[in-house]
Amino acid sequence: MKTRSAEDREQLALLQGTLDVLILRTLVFGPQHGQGIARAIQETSEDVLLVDHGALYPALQRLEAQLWITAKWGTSTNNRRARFYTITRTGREQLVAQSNRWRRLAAAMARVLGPAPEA
Amino acid sequence: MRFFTKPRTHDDFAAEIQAHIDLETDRRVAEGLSPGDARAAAVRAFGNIAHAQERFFEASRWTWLEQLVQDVRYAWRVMRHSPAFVATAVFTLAVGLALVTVAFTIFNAYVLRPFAIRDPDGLHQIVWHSRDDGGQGFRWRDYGQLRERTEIFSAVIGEDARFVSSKSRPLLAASWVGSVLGVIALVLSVSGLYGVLTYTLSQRMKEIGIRMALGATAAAVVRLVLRQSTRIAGIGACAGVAISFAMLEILSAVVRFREISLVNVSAFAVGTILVLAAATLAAYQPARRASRVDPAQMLRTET
Repeated sequence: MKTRSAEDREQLALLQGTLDVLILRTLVFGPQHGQGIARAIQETSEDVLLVDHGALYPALQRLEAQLWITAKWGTSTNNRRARFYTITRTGREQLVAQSNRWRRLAAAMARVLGPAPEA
Repeated sequence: MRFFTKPRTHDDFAAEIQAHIDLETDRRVAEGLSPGDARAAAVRAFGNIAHAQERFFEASRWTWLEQLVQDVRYAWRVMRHSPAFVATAVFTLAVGLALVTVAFTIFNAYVLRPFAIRDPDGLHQIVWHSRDDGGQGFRWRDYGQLRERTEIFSAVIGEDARFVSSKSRPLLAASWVGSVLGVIALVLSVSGLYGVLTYTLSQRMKEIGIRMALGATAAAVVRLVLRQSTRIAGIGACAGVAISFAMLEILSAVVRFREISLVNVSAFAVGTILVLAAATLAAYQPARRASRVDPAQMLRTET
């Protein structure tokens, strides 16, 4: 069994929560494959949330196991085979719940940290 | 909750990774890189491929075993922490099982299979050829004479048809009533278990909230609770079987059951299966409710 350092575990915990929401949010706009999801997250977050593309896959697998998303092999727009993920009803419900939590968290952090200092 | 789907193969995941890199390569080529540079960039963007495959492999291969071990250990810990709960649950299940088994045994012996004999090898069939009756047939007198020879035969039945229905009305009614009582007992046990489980789960909400906040899925929580209750049901079933034996022995001493064999494997099997199924059913609803909890809320209210 692999051992994980404390740092890795911390990163993992944070990542688990963020990735779930990001993936679900991306899939709300329609079915998408792994590379498409990675790109979408990269672009909409303006490269802030830059993750290894490969780091998406454990999250995708977990979401699939929980039946928040389903997957099927299909063909992409430029005729490549790819595994497309679709969000389910449960996934949508979870997205709403988690988005609200994140917004509350972000608002609370903003309040605690105070306004950004003048440059 | 996914219990019975076929797990993904390694090759399937490898194909998905390959497809991902191909798509990313296409994208980079469209952005202006040369094919060679594009592929290199795509592989870099993916990160550690071996890492991803390793995590998939680990996840799919050992998760169920890891989780089983984890769940069993956790269940054992929790049971040690609340002996009263365990005792109550085991007791209700054991009594339920015992009553169901006893009732079903009697029901089986008297209604379903009239010839439940204690010693099947000691059963002899006497075919009678009578000269003055022109063939096979015997008279009431012959039957009476045979019955009197108790040093040879412990019991004699005269039959005309191939099976003898139990004509004893009171006994028939009693076995039906017994079975109904057994079912009622089972229902009571199930509701007892349900109540106890709901109560203890509500005590453990904080712990479940922490687990879910740390990443336990709803399915994991449900599995956890179900495993624990199955363990308890198992202990209860064993206790129930023991009690059934005892009760049946006592009963057969008190009431003469006339050569009926009371050790009926199918009755015990049916009883045990019923109890285990009932326990799972009783546990399922509270488990689902526990897993639906919002961890943030739970953590807040408990402090």
